[in-house]
Amino acid sequence: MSTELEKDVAAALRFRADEVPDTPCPPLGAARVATQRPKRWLVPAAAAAAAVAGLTGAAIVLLPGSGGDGRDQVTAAAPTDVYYSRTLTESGDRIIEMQLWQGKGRTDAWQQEGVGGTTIKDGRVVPDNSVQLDYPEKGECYPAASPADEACAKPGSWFNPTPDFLAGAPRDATVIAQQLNDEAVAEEERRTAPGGDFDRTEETFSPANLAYLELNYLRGTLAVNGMPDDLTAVLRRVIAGMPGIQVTEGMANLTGQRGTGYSLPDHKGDLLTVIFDADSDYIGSPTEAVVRGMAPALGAAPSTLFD
Amino acid sequence: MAADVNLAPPFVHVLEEQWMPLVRLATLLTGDADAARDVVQDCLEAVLRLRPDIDDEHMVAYLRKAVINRSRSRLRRQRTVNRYLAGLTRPKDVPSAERELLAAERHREVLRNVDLLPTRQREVIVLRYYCELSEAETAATLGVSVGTVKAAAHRAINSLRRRMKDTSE
Repeated sequence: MSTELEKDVAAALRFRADEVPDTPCPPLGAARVATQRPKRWLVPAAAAAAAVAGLTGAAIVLLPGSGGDGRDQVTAAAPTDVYYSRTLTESGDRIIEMQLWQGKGRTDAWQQEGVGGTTIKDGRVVPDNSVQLDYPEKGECYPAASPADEACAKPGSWFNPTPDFLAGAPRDATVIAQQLNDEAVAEEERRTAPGGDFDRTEETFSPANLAYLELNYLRGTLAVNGMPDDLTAVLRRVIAGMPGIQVTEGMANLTGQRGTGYSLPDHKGDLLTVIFDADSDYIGSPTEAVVRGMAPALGAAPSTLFD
Repeated sequence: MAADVNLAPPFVHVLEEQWMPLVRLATLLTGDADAARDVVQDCLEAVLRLRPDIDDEHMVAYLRKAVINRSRSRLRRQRTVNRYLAGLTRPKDVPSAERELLAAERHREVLRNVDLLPTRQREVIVLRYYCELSEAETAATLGVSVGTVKAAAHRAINSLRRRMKDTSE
């Protein structure tokens, strides 16, 4: 800044900016809960998933008292009325544990609880009061706050896996792969359109870039409550067939559970990974652990956890 | 579990910390604090909804770019409205008359003329002199070349100098 006029411009702009009265930031989102955020790739990669119904798959009833502090105790023989999930996510030097309860229907009520800490014991985060969390505690039509919200009306897709969508989704890996590619292309078209938040580059629609985008969406889709087991197994095959996929046996998730890791690198070489156990259940990533089950009511201890 | 807005709470805190800085930036770009708040809220919600993958390193730059794009869209729509209005409308959020009396006349004169600059030039001016971005950072934010930034800044300053000289004469 060399001239008096330039200094005047800067001062005038600060003057106007200072005139803007402070207002609190409005509540953001309906369900700000914790999962891993992978490194940025060349293009936008959005989140996926919503409440999902139509649960299938075997359940294992855990014995009471498996948790060190009682938070993990499983109530016996309770009616399994709502979906339950618990996700532990490493975020910097902190670990966030979020428990989510949600009804089976898309517009049913949901509730969540979170704790933060720096250590894990018996698969749970040891609460640390120095880690403050801020999240909405309840709502309807997860992750929306209410059925009137825009997110609740958004049609289902692989990138927005609603209960109806998953119930009727194809189980053919080739068909799914094509649908995922179509959605990824459409997403890139939208995000790089004039006025969009990204500039289109020669890499925008490259197979590697689209695959990364699809894997990032699937990471969320695989973790939704009520994802059918047979569909999870098919999605694993789809992921295994992605261009450039790296397969690592014996990879551990955040809580040490081991399985087969499927990874794609971003432009810096950092890996976006999903891990499946031997039964093709999705268990998270090296910085995330996902556990799902059923609970008798919102906020109640889980009656069953799925293995 | 993972949801449409799967974000770690620290990520949300970063967004909330950026609320007022971005509102001020959008106000400078749109000339309207009410519109600015709408623009920024849209951007933050979009990040929550669409960009859980973004890392903290790129967060602020991404938000700034999103705010600029949406402010530009807002201005485009406003211009359409203004065609049906007589003359150039005064930005709604300029300082009140009382505050203006207390403010330096030079500032008010500069701001009036900044408001008359073409959108691209105003964006460059705001990013360079308010956000204190380098030419390269400004270019990256706007998605243009450094040469374009230099040219836009040069034209803007010359335009301001010319208009203010005209006014003083």
